Amino acid sequence: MMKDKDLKIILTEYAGNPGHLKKDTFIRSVTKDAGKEHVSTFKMIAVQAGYIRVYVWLISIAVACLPLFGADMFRFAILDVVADLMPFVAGVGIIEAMRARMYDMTELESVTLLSGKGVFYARMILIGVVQFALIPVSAVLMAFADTGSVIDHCVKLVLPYCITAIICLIVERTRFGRENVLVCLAVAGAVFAIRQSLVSFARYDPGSLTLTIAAAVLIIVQIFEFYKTVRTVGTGEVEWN
Amino acid sequence: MELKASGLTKQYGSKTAVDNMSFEIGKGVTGLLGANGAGKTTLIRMMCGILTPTSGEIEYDGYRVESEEYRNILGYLPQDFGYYPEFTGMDFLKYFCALKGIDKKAANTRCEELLELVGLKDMGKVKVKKYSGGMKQRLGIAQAIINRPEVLILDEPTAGLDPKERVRFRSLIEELGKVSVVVLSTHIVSDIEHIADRIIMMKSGHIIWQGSWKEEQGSLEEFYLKEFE
Amino acid sequence: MDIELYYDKIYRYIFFKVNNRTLAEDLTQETFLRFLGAECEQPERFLYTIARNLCIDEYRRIKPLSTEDEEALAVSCEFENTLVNSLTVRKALESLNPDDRDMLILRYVNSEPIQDIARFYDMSRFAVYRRIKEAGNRLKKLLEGGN
Repeated sequence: MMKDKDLKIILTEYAGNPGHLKKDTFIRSVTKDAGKEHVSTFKMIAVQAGYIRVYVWLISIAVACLPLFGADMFRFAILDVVADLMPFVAGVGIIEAMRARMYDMTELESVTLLSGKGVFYARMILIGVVQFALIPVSAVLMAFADTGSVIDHCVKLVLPYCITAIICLIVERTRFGRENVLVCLAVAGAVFAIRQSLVSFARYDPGSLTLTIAAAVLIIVQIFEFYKTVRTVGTGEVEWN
Repeated sequence: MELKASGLTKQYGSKTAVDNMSFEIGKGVTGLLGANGAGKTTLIRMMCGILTPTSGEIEYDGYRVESEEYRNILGYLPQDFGYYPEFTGMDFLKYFCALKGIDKKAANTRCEELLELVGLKDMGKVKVKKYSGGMKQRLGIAQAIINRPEVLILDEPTAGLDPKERVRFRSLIEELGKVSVVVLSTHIVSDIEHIADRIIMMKSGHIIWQGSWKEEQGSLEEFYLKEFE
Repeated sequence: MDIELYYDKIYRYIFFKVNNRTLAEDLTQETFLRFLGAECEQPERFLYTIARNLCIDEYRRIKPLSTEDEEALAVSCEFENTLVNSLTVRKALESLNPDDRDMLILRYVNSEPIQDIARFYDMSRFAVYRRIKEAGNRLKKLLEGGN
């Protein structure tokens, strides 16, 4: 006897598909009258959330939680260790937000309802907010092992993070940055090296008030640079053809 | 349904890629014919609202090409495009459903329907990495028409297709032209000579001829070659 | 949008009732136009109800298909891969009781859950299951015999 599946195939084939042109025109006219709703920022972020690779979250969380299992190993240097890793966290975040560029997807994304700008905007906000939120978490964890205040720790983590992010965002607006997404890692490496020589070797410490003000200013600059970069996505002056 | 450009110009530094072009494109297939470097891609990018003209204007039925409303009814296949390496054909299409505001439940049905339409029914679960050039191109077409666009813009869409795929592709385009504004750029005359309702011929950023080509005008190929000598 | 989701299903449901592609397409679109004006909690059930009523109106309005249509139909749905001829399928379907046929289509072609079909026809799940099974077996036998 014939199987259920075969019967299904025969019947489905007998009915055939409705003509796609007639369907197109009809659905188009109906949905146009109904009007497509504007895509909210929240919706954009929700859509993109599923397309951010897990490793980005893992790196961000692992670095933030380092004080949990690394505090004994590094003793009082735990703050420096985490701060040293912050540039890389920032760099990886921006590379992920800019992923479309690396894989030649920007042009396709640009002509969608969300637009290329929307895609980058949503990804960067999502990654940025999570990474920022992890900084105080890390600072609190450190407070158990260290004597310094939580706010001081936050500030010392925010500084390398923001400096890297700002430079990456600026570089991404240049032609060189556009064509070499991995340049963010080089920026992270440079920030790491400068921090090493300044803080770990030269013991440069301008005092916590100065640092706190600097951190606040850098956060504002970062937001500003972020919006400036968003505006350039998908409108690149692509080469002559 | 009319895409209207007036005095459209694009300059890169001192070079002029598109020089003072004006046209009106209605429903049907419009072939944009020109050699490489004629300014076709620049023009197409301006039509899609992803490149801002230096001067001049372009709009569709009163919508600015940069507007959300226009993007909502636009489908575009760029000359080159990539994909995220972990994507299967189905993932790729679903991603664009999400970006084009098609809700999740409907996306499934729509993606399957499209895979069938472009002849990739059995390839949905295969990674795009493993697709041949022609298959990737067909996936690109599917992505472009996923939102049932009123305006469909295709930049050199036949590149990488084998002869059989070309024929199939042409008939799909011809069909879509019955209900949409289709613009197809190419440097190969045979891609459009039988399916284009009108032709815009471009050379160094200028329109050198536009209109619908009739058989009594002789061979389009010959005319084209003469113009480009 | 519900249209994307149900368009093909409604089309097939109607097609098996009216046996004509163009008419089925028109009635499908009419179904959605009527549906759009209304608010409801179970869109699927409501759509099938509208479709069914439209088909009933259509039966009242038109006479059965002429032989001319029948020939056109036989040509228009030639199968590519299956061994069964479309006319055989049609004859086999016509020999079924219309309600049995509709339930069978809902289950086999549209993959609707038995539970929903039972609610739609206001019958017990078991009764629906049995009727679909019987109709299915009968259809299979007819199709195999037609080879």
